[in-house]
Amino acid sequence: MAIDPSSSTPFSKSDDLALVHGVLDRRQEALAELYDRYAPLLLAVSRRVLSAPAEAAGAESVLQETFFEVWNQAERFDSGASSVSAWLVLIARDRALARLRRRPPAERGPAAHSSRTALLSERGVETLPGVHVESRAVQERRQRVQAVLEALPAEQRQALEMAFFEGLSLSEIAERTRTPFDVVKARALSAMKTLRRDLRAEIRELM
Amino acid sequence: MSDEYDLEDPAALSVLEDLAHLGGQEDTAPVEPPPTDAASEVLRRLYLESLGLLAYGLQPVQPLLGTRATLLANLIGDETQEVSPLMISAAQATFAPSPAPAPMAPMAPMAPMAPLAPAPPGVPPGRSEGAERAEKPRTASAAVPAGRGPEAASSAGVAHGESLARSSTRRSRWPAALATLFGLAAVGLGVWAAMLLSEVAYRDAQIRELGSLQLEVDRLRLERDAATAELAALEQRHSFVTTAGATVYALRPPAAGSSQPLARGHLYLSPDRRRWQLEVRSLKPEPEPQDYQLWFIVDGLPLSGGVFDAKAGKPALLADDAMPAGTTAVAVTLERKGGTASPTSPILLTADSPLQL
Repeated sequence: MAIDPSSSTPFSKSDDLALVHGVLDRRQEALAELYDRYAPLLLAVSRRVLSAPAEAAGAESVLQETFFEVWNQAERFDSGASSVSAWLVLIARDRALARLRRRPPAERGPAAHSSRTALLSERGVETLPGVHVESRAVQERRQRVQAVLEALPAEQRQALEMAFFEGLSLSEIAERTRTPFDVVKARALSAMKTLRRDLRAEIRELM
Repeated sequence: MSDEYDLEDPAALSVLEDLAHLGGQEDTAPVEPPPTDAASEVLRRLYLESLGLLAYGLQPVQPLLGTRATLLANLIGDETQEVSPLMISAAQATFAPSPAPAPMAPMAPMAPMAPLAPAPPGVPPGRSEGAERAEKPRTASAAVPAGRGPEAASSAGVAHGESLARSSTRRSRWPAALATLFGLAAVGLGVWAAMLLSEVAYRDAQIRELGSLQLEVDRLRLERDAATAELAALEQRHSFVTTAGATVYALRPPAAGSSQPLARGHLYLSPDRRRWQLEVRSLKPEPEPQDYQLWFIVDGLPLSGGVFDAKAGKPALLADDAMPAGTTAVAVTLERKGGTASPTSPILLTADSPLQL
């Protein structure tokens, strides 16, 4: 029920903004449309944060929490502070990190998962064709971002990803990777610069 | 604008450090930066967006169909109140596709939706019953979707079909020794017929299930079309906000202080500097009989931009096609109903100059 994937809808933030206003007006269609646009992206984020395959169901739960939060607290969205897309990604990441931290440390690794839930994650998901389809614009943005991320030196990408997906501060990353703090900082900055330089169009599109 | 700020700037570094700490803490707004000046606000936003793009580096994961259905069902069921965790997972189990309802059901006790809805002290019996009901079909007949209304009846039909097949199989064993070839074939056909019957009942149940899903899909599609039309209209109104060259004024309470320190606003201005749209958040609903009034400051003199109302929990919106030429600043005050020719009360929100985006 997403945007017709065959039509390349130009991605516009006002469009997303209008949906957030729709949510504020308690219009469920607006929430459904936001869901259809961003659920696969946000589920990927919460899976990545939770990482253990045992959390496949937990990740779906985080996805629901994310949209419940959007439904109940949309007035917190500040169009001056971020785009709708970044707002959603940050809520999903936040919720997933909160869930991760509620788990006993022993279960946070990928080792602790039962065969049954592992099956769920391998099986992936059942989808009726055409039900949740990301807009082509989201797909295209993904391709461009992936290309840039893949071109980053591995340790730079790792620094960014640890900060974002694992919620670690730069000094924590330095500790984990046994790297001097200044090196980690330089890596993160350098990665940021590259993103900013190479994804200028995407960032502008969102801002 | 991305070239205007130096990433080695200490402000950039502190933003980076802040971002690493964003999130993970419950009960805090995920994207609520501490108040800062306009430049670091823009910078912070740049970082948020570039980090937000990291998500696009992941392969998308299609959610289970039930996740969406449950989400929407719970919105329909409950407009304002928070949703009980048990209710969600019970409904999830009910909606989960037939081959594997199992992993969803145990979520209830293990995975509460803690931060959103503090678990109610006593779970109403109706809800836990829902969870149990979702468990049952696994033991009865794993192949049949969890029963709801009409499906429950068809699931009984299938179970019956299966037991028919089983009893025929049993009967077919002992006469087999004595039966003629013809007899054997007849019994075989009987078993086959019974199996077909159960197959038919199973397919019927599936068709009924698909039929009701289709109805739901049609209904949602209609709603979607209506929403799309409305959005198109909205989008037209908002379109200039995204145009390159658009200007944004970030309105904040004056530095000298304000009776409403939490209020914030943005005024978007089209590149031709005529069409504008004001969005204000967290202003208290105006006392009767008064209105909020927007002012454009031209050569130090205020010109009215119109009046608007504030409602709790919603952004106040105001838009028009004519911003006075030479506007340098904008401001909001509280005035008598319908507005006044010039402001008579303290400034609540103001922006001296636009952010260049």
